[in-house]
Amino acid sequence: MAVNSSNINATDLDFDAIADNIKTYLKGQDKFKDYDFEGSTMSVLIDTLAYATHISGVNTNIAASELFLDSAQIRKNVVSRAKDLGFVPATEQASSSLVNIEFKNILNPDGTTPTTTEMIINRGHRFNTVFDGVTYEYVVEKSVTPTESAGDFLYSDVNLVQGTYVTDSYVFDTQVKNPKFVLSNERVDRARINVSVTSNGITETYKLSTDVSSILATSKVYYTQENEEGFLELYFGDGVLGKGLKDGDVIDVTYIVVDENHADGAKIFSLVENVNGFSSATITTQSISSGGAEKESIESIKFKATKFYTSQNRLVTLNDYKAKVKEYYPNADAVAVWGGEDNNPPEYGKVFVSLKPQNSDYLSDTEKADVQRKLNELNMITVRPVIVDPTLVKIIISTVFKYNDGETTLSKGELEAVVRNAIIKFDDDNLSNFDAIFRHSNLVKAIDESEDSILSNTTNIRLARKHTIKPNFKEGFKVNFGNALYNPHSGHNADSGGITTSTGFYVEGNTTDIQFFDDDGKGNIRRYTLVSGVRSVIDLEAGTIDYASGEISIDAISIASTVNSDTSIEFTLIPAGNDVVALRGSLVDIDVSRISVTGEVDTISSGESSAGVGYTSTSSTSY
Amino acid sequence: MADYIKPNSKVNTVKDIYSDLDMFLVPHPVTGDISTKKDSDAIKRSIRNIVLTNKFERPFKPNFGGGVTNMLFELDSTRKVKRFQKEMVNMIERLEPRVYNVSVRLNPLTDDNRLDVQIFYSIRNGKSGQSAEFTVTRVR
Repeated sequence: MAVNSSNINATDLDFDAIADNIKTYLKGQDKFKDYDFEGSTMSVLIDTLAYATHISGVNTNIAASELFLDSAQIRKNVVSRAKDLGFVPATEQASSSLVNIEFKNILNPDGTTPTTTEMIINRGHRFNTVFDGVTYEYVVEKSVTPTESAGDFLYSDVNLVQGTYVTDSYVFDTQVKNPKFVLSNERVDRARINVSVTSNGITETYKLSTDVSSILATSKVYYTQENEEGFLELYFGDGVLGKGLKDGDVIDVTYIVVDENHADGAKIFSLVENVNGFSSATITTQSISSGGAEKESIESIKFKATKFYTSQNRLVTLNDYKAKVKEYYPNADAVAVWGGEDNNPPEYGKVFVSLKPQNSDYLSDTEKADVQRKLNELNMITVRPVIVDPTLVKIIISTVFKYNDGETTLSKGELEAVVRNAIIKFDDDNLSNFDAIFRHSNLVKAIDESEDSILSNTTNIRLARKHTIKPNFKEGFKVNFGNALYNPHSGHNADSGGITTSTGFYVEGNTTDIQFFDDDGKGNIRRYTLVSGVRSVIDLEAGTIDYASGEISIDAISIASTVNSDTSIEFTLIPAGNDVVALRGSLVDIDVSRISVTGEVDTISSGESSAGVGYTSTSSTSY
Repeated sequence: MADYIKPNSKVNTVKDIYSDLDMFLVPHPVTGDISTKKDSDAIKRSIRNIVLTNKFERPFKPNFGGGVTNMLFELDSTRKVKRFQKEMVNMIERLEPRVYNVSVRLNPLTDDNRLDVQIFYSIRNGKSGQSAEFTVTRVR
């Protein structure tokens, strides 16, 4: 069988392409001609050969891809590659809430007061909450002893963690080489594992090893890693890097199994189990439930592992901080870091870190302190990290869209819901980062494309930002929007308050008149009150507004209280352009609760209006 | 003297149009090479391959094959036999473009636990009235 064509292309992976290559190769001979007929014996041989080549090619390709962090697709391989770089992916994290619990006038049936030891709430004690109509179980993270005063028992700062409390026990056996103890549940919060080892009747607590440089031969530490099935496994020191275990030592691991749905936002808790037979607890929530997060995704591991390797567990550059903050707080939606020298005014020797959690706008004080404490351990002596709340510039959207009612079966209300969802999706997809830009035309396009019957839309935006005041404290403050503001000419709209509106507040010494801020179009902020619906200006120069930089500066004033329950004043302004950028440490975000959507039947396309007579369009400046 | 006429050096021989390996891979008794099947024999062997291959046997070709061996384990009813005959004809006509006018006769011999298969066909641009016959039996 002389074959003239010596070129057989062996690089394809697809079965059919390989078979075609073999057939092309066989065209170079005339001994066997039936390779093109499906039923021929040659075709059977070609198929077999192509199949073997295909399997071998795919295997080689997968094996080669999985060898590198960039191209690996299978989680266990990504985790393994990350391990080479010293990076440990985050596990699931349970949502948690800080509460105070109080039992009042507690008396035993015999009339005596129980002791505080009897009233201890043990780790794992169950509570629950109903959030969005679903009941979630919470457990106490650490045993708490109350303080007692005249029959009242108070438990301060009790950490309730969402999930189920589980204990796994193992016996250490030196016959087993390289022993690893796999936890029996997959969704485990690594930060909340308690490990104790009982050796010769003495029980000792072991801690999770985080920094190998501080571990001695006697350090009671354990190590964790994610195994190939995605379960967490524990292993112990070898007598050099951490204390080694002995035959027969009993290892007890207690941990929280994280729920599949995180109840972030839950704030009303109740007892499931009695405490020493008493159930009349008053539970006051200190911080609402937050911090629930899923296991680190493959993409996130790939991103962070390299950054982690670059930073080498030291915080020097801004990217080091970024990578580390994301590691310490995996639930972060967005992280911004900037040096104090970039602040206005500059604050040298500080690094500012601002992060926004996924399910709320701000970190709780406990979470902030926790992240800051961890950063302090790694940063340079001369630099202090400061966690600040992100300043949120809210974008208030008002959209009016025209639709052809002949092209849809949806009602006006349903179409409005479709558009609202398109705006929310746009927000989720585009505005979760600190360096994000709100691009007006993209939103307009997203609205137009949200449903086939939508023909056009007019979408107007306003910017809103809150400033929290200190009640009865005389001080000036600045509110920076970071974007130029609308001021087409000096004195624009001066009679109706320029472009500024604010929520109401009471000034110290005057608790009867609700006062507001507006501007005169000439760069002055005015303070006024409404008398029978008419503005009565109290202070013509209560502050200044810089239209070019977007900064409002209010002169010193003592505000007693605000109409907003969170002692804040919200300023709402009209931006000069439709695109909105985020200044350092600030986030732009569409205010989902204040999206206004109105649908109108397009009279031309539906045939009601001829030659445009009676057609109305929405003003691009109306709101 | 008659002129010498140079014989034509080009000899026109009819080359085999179709040629294939023998599925049984039997060596030639003299040369020891694997024997080949040619022309009508090659087509006959091809039809036999199609009919005897079960579905899902060929990689990436799940619908390939007549699956006649599966027939051995079906109920012996006229409807079944007819359906199988029809399926086989369709399969051969689809996968073997060199033949036409295909008909299949299945003869289940239940007492002998076997199935006689007869396939009649004509070769395009070739001989008509061709047939292939074989018997399928249980292995155990």
